Amino acid sequence: MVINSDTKISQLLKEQPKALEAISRLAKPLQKLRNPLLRKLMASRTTIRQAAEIGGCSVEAFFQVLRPLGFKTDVNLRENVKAHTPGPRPGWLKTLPDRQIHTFDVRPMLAGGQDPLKEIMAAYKELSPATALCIVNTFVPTPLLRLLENKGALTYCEQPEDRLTYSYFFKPSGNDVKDTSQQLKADSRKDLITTVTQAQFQEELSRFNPADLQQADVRELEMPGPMQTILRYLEQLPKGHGLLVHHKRIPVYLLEDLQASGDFRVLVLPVSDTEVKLLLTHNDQLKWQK
Amino acid sequence: MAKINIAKAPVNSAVLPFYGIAALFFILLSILLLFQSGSLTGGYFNFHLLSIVHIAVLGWLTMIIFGAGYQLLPVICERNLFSEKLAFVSFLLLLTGVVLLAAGFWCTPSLGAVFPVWGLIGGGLIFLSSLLFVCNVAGTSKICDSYSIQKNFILTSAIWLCWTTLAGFLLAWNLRYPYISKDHLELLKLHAHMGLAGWFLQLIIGVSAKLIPMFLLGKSSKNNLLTKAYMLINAGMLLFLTDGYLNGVTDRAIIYLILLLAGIACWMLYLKDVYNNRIKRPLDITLRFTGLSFINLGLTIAALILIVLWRPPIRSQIIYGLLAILGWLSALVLGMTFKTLPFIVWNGHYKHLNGKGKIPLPKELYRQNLLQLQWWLYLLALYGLIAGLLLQLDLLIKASTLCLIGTSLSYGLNIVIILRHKTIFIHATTPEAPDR
Repeated sequence: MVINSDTKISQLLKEQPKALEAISRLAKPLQKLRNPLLRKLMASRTTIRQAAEIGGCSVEAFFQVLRPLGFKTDVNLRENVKAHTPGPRPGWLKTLPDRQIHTFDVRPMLAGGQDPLKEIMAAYKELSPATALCIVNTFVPTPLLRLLENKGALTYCEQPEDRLTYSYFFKPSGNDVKDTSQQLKADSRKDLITTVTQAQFQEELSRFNPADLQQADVRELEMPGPMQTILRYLEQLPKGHGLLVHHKRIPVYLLEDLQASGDFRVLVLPVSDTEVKLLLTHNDQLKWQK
Repeated sequence: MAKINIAKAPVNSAVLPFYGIAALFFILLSILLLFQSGSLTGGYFNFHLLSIVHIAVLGWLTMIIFGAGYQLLPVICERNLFSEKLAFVSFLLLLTGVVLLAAGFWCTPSLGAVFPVWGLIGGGLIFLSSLLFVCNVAGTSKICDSYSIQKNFILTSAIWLCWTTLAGFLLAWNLRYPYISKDHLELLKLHAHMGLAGWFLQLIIGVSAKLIPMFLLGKSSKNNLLTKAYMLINAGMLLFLTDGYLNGVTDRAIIYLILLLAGIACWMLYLKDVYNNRIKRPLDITLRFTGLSFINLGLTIAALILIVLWRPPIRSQIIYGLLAILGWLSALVLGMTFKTLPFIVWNGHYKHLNGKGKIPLPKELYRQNLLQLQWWLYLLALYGLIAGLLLQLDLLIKASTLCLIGTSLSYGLNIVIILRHKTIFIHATTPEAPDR
């Protein structure tokens, strides 16, 4: 099997069960994969690159332990191997004096096998407005970033060296809080609807167990039948399940409704002038936290 | 059976000019109304008022209906527009015709009360334009075997439009070269109602019976209600016109009005059925305009009944016309424009896209806050005008027409924003965030 940094952990495990042992030995956080429940939750949603960030190791380290198990690495996609590259420091961080940044190094806790989430949340809560919390650890804590962004924090991550990440969480003062959280809400709504390529669409589809993926073909329905059908499906769609819709066109009025409600994420794959595929899932950003 | 195919939508040039010019006429009409607010408190046979009314019903409302019709018919009928060329010619004819006719009315007082020949030509051009519209409607819907009742309403309304414009042309001829022995003002009533109940009402019934189920996500199996409405309204109209032409408008008009109202009631029952069977979803501001339009239709009918039964002073007829044109019809157009135009433009930009990225949705093609502004200014303008007319407060009338100008400008600005939209498609090339 040819793999690259975008290959899912679940695909690796399916191809070669021995990969589990190899990967979980790479880094402490990856030992979670040995837990069947967490494995089921994570493996289908995590790519090698994401796992490398969580584990605080390089993608190449994954390739090194996987090659002996018969996996071939895709050299064409090497550019994806590069580590997290952040943009320049945002304005709020540049102007923030050092004494207004509280640093919290969670590496010892992580090394001791403890989950520092509770402590981080408490530290953020105690933060006075217009100051920032700086979390030091070995990987980009994406779920944490999203979690605190939803609480109104402005976030920024930088990786001065391998296995060292500074994540800044700025607590806006008074009036800013509402503005930023609304801004973030609006931004996250804009991100709900995305068009994708065939390959990306297939990749997203492969995240779902066949049993968790419902399908609706509305191409032959008379308007407004397609929209009614899709909304009925969505009403009953369990969390974590996906709905694959075969449509004749991009259903813009439906998308406007879904965007307004903010409850669903939509991937749009325009196949041809008369065929569009949609993948709809609950908009539950925090479910990847574990 | 799949009935809707967006691939059949006509090229934008057959549709978009109508929207742009209609917005211009709306702005023009609100400005003229400010300078002629005095004529609102007089009788309805006033050349300046005639000019404004024709700008409203032809330049603003009919113009936009033509555009929306050319877009909607191919989509409903699953076939290409019969002729995009004819559509564009009808646009040129209507535009030139309205300019000439409205200017003709406007200038009549300064030409020694003689209606100019070029105004007459304008009337003729409008008639030709409406003929072309009928050709396109008939040609497009000919082979379409579905939605027969909706289609019948739209085609019949287009034919009524032809009769209305022809009658208008003959009346204008009479203004210049008097030849009709009957009372010109009585015939004007027939002409006006051919337009209101024959053209606008039936067109709205036809289109709403198709679109409202789509927007509310409801449906009704009670198509027979629409058939009844069709027969009642057309019977009432034909009787009213025949009797009115032969004997003048008498008390018998009440009978025809009852037929017409029964027809409207059937249509309302149909919509109520749709509404009851809908899926609950957020009602946006465009649908609020639609709801307001129905309230204004109710007020229009109430005003009409009062006029027929009690014959109140002359300015009540102005209020009736105002409620119908600026209340019922304009509210509908002010909202529905933002359900149709962004979608048309969106299709032109995003129908063929592919690859990964974010696409704006039709409602992101215009400014929501501008639409909010339009809503509040419109409410102030319409009900301020009516209150001002009822109480005869010139200051209130003036202030309301200022609000109307504000309404038309915010509407026009939004139209410009939509028409000038540039494709925004952000190709995402950076790797996705780990949390997808």
